[in-house]
Amino acid sequence: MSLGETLRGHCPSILVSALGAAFGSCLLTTIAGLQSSIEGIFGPGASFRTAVFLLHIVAGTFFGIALFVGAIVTANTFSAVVAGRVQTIALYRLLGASAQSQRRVFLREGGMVGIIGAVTGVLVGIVLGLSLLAALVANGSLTAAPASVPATVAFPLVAGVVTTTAAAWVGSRAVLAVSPLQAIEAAQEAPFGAVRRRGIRTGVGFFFVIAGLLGLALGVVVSLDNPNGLFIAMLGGMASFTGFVICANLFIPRALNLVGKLFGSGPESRLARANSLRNPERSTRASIGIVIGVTLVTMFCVALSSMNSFFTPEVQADPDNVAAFQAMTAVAVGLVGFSVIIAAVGVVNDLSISVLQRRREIGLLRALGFTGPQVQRTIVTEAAHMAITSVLLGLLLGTTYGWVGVQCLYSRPMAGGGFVVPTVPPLLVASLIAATVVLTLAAVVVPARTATAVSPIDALQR
Amino acid sequence: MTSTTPARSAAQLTSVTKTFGVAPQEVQALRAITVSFNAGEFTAIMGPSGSGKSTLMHLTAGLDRATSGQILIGDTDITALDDAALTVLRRRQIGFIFQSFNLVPTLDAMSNIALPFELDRRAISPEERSWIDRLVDELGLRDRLTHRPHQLSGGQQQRVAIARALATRPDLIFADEPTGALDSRTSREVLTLLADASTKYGQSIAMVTHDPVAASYADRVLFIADGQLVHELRRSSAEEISRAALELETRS
Repeated sequence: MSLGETLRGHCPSILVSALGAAFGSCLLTTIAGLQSSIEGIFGPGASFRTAVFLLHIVAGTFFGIALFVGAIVTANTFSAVVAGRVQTIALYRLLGASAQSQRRVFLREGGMVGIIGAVTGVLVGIVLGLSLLAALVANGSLTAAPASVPATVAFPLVAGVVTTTAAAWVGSRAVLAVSPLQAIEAAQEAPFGAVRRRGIRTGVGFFFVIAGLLGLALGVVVSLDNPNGLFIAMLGGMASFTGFVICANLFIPRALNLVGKLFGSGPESRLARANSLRNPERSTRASIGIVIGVTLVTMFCVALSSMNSFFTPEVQADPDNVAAFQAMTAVAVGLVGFSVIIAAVGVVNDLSISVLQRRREIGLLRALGFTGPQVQRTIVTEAAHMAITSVLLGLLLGTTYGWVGVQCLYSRPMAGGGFVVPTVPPLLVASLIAATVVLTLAAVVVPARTATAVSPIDALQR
Repeated sequence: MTSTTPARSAAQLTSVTKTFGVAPQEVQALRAITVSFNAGEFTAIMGPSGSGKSTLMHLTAGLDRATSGQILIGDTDITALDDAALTVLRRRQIGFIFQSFNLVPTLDAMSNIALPFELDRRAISPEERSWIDRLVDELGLRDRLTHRPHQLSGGQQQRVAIARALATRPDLIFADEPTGALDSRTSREVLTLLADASTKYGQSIAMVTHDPVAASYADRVLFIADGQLVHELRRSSAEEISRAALELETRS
């Protein structure tokens, strides 16, 4: 198979891998530039080293989040590629190829995708970082320093390749479920993802959720008279969120169903609901990226604005403080928002593929009298279900985490050990909804057009 | 109705039963069927839809497991094999020809023919090479070897599939409605090639079909109904086969 053909279908994975690596290398290049510029003024000092170390920790955290979201998207993309190649895999199995050898094909492709994406991404990230520094020097925010590429960019490169390969391995698990019988025409549609080890996964997920929630509660209680409560709550937050992500396949389909019912019971809405529930694993993975992004954005915004509302009116009114809060919020949202962009790639890809895979079915709907616009509405509704569900879940989780954080930080000095009322900034909700609408429409343009191009004859041909 | 046939069989099924589903909704696709595919013979398997002829093929080819009974391919009892061993068996001892050709679209004709060797991770020996060369010539594929499946006509694609099946000289080739997607002239060509493969090279072939014309190319025709072997003919004309099929249909 030629390289070009192999990589067809992997474009979204390459893009995601490149985005992640670009993000990481851009952050690191910028930090290195800031460091050398500051050292150029003050000379190398120990206190700066600590600050630089902290900056690296922060950058590493945001990069880690982007990588994690990227890995989920890539796993999903790979499982879609597997679904598209079931016939070929089944044929190889029929002719005597082992399932493991077929899966290794995807592992190799994952490595290739990771290398191409990460190398491109790191280069783009370095260029972006250097241009950003040059821009800062040009507008006088920064003193000129020799532009250099830090050795640390090797980290996003390696991490990008490794996570993409690992995600390809996870996403290609369905290969094991492909039966050689599927190569024979008579075989039914692929009974997808029959290989499951859900029991253990669900158990681990629930353990994390319950332990995490207990940690959060304990943190809130402890923090009433002990500053260490925040750390307990933080561990609890991380554990419970990990748990939610692990067993997302249990609750996201249910949430999708619930949101879907709100859309009424027209044929478009019912079909859209059925479609997003048809492959719960896939719609979960498509949604979870957005849930993660929205949760983190919400958490930062709620925490910062709740903190703000806690201060006295004089402090609040100080324009310097207002500016500082706005800057902090903007930076945090910007950095986390990058993961949302990666997640959006996943949503677009999921919808495009699901339309391609349903070609015959859409043709059948057209043959049975569904109009082109009706088909389009079905696809748009499906995207809307996913986006709205993800934003609602993200808002709920993010508000909880943000509130717990502020509660732990500020309840102690408060008179009477009272509780902080969580502030959900209306601007946040409005912009998240706006972003959701834009994302949904953008994600749906191409797939919806593809869907209307399907002719009823497609249902009749093999 | 027992046949006087050569002693050696390419595949032997002894009281094989296949049940789908569980207790109340249970469907018996095969009911204690005993049948033998003679070595070197071209056998046609006929029967109405749902008769169990496809299941018979799936089980004998190691694609699915029998509920009970014994299936021998050559001297190997495949009912005792695990998935890995069945995979190797399919690779080395079974060949397939399909209605929809099922060539790998990204590989050219020659690579499709060589695929079973590649899957076996072994080089093609000089002897096998000359065998493949002969097949390529006799199937008229010489100037098509670098073509991809979409550049070939249906008949050419099916000839590539036949070459792929014959290349490893398997114990038994299964052909599943091999002419179902071809026009009648190309169908006759393909059927003649299959019949030749069995007479000239002693290749054992089992062909599932519902077309009496296709079955008339076979040395032996088996009739399956309700999961059992109900009738058997030696080489017969399409008219005789049609009549037998019709009689069996109306009798039930």
